Amino acid sequence: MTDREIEQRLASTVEMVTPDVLDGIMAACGAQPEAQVTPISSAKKRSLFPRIAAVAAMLVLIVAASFALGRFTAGGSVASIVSLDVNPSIELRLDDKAIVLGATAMNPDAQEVLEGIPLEGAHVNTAVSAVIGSLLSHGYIDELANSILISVEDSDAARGERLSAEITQDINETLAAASVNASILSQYISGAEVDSLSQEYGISHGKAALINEILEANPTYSFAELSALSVNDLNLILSNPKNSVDGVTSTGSASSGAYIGTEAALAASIADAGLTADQLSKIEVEFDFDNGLMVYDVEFDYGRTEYEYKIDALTAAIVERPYFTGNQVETPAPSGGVDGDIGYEAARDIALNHAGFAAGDVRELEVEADYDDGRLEYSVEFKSGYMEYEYEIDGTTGAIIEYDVDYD
Amino acid sequence: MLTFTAPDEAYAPQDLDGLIRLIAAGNREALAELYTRTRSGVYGFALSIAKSAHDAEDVLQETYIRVWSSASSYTAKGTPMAWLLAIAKNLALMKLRARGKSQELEPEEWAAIAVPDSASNVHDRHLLEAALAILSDEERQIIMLHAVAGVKHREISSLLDMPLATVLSKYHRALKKLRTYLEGADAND
Repeated sequence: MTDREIEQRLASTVEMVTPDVLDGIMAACGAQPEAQVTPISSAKKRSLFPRIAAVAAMLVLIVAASFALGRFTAGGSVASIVSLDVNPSIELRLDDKAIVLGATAMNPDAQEVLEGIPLEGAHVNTAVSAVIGSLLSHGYIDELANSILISVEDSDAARGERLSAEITQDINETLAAASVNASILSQYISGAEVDSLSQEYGISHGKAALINEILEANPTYSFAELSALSVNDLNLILSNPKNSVDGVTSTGSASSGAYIGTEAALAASIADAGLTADQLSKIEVEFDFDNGLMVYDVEFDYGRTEYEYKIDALTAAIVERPYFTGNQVETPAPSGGVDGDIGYEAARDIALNHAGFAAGDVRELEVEADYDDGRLEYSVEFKSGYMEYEYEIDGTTGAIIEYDVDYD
Repeated sequence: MLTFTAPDEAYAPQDLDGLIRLIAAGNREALAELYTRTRSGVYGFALSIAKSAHDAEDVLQETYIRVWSSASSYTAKGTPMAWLLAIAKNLALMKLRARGKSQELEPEEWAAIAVPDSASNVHDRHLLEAALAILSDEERQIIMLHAVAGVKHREISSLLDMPLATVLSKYHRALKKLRTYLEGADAND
């Protein structure tokens, strides 16, 4: 039995056993995507019917608010809940005059911050200023991590949004007086919608809602991974244009002082590529999150060749490097210099010779170096006619470890 | 003789890009078409991670619901299939986490959950049972991604965060295991 036959039989069998869930999908996707918006993102992009979407969002809001009403009125007078997330996570419950009825430390760090601060009976402005002062004095807001997430839950949307804007302004003023350039993320949320996620991951309603927003923009991240990040790291991820969200207002810039910086990330990339900065165009460096690591996405063009790197934001290690196309004459050989390394060109030629082609006979030729169990190996891929060829070449001896020919 | 659609034909990236653009504009037919063309790849991959037919079915459904709600933010970086599978991967991992364990199932358990008797002939059943039961987690995911979802080894390397050479080694090791298993199963028929 050939490899191809095994692959085909497996594909056919999975096709046969795949359940048909189309009806369920279509039922869940019954209207425009905008109709599914949560209250924290009332202005969605790309709506074909913005008015309908806005009305739908408002209805969702009203329903969510009515569900949440029990919580707001349970104590007799809680009108709003304001959460502050840095790493310490603090919840303030307010009456309809914005007077603090109670404060809760949502994690152990927050207990330390709230210790000895009488907040009950204070106006929210005073209370927030006191909490920010304590966060500063305990070293939770500094030049390395300057992001604060303000989340407001309120059954009255207008009051909630007004409160959110006022608190943001207060915090900006407090921090400006302390000469700290803070970045404040503020959002109006429905706590009821994220309550189960918040409990499952042990994070605040506000952080859960923020992560949901990011996932909506970029579903390739996972909730579990993002829940482990600080608000500052989430803010850095939000600074990447591909992760822009609608339901969160942002002021200032998240501090990247804890990381190597865009210049160093670019330098690491161009050094690996064997190029110099003056040879490049279309340089873009953005924060991203990749398999548990904060990384810089580095992109630049060298001639007609586009390079994409991912650089560990803490260590400058190369997490991902581009696939070099062997038949692109503009692509220089990457810096190697390792004794016993046959090099990209030799690996390419070994594969081409084995397949019986010259470099000009094939297309989409790609050569990549990898370490497998500490051993340098080159992967060579190319296409010719309707066939795709994949080779694995020992990077030290030039021996062909494995090869595969498949229909393109 | 089984009819077979080559994965590469089924998942022509440029066409899927177009479908996702239509979905972003609210076209339900495009969502149904995307589902029809990619569902077995998504299901196979979800099954290889979640190790539960029930969870894989949920992941299958939720993946396309996510696609519907986030198609407008899709950027054509990598292939659309890789994007779909990245969503499915995260959902499947969340299922595993919610279950609180990722225990290996016994071969007979795989057989019971994965392949109803009427679904295929005995040889194909053997093959899927083997793919699910005798392969390691990584081998199972790689073989489902390449053979069923039609994903290139290079994209698998990115999706699973694994060096390409490792993906290739594991893929060929998995094929060898399956061939050995099938030859043994055929001999016993």
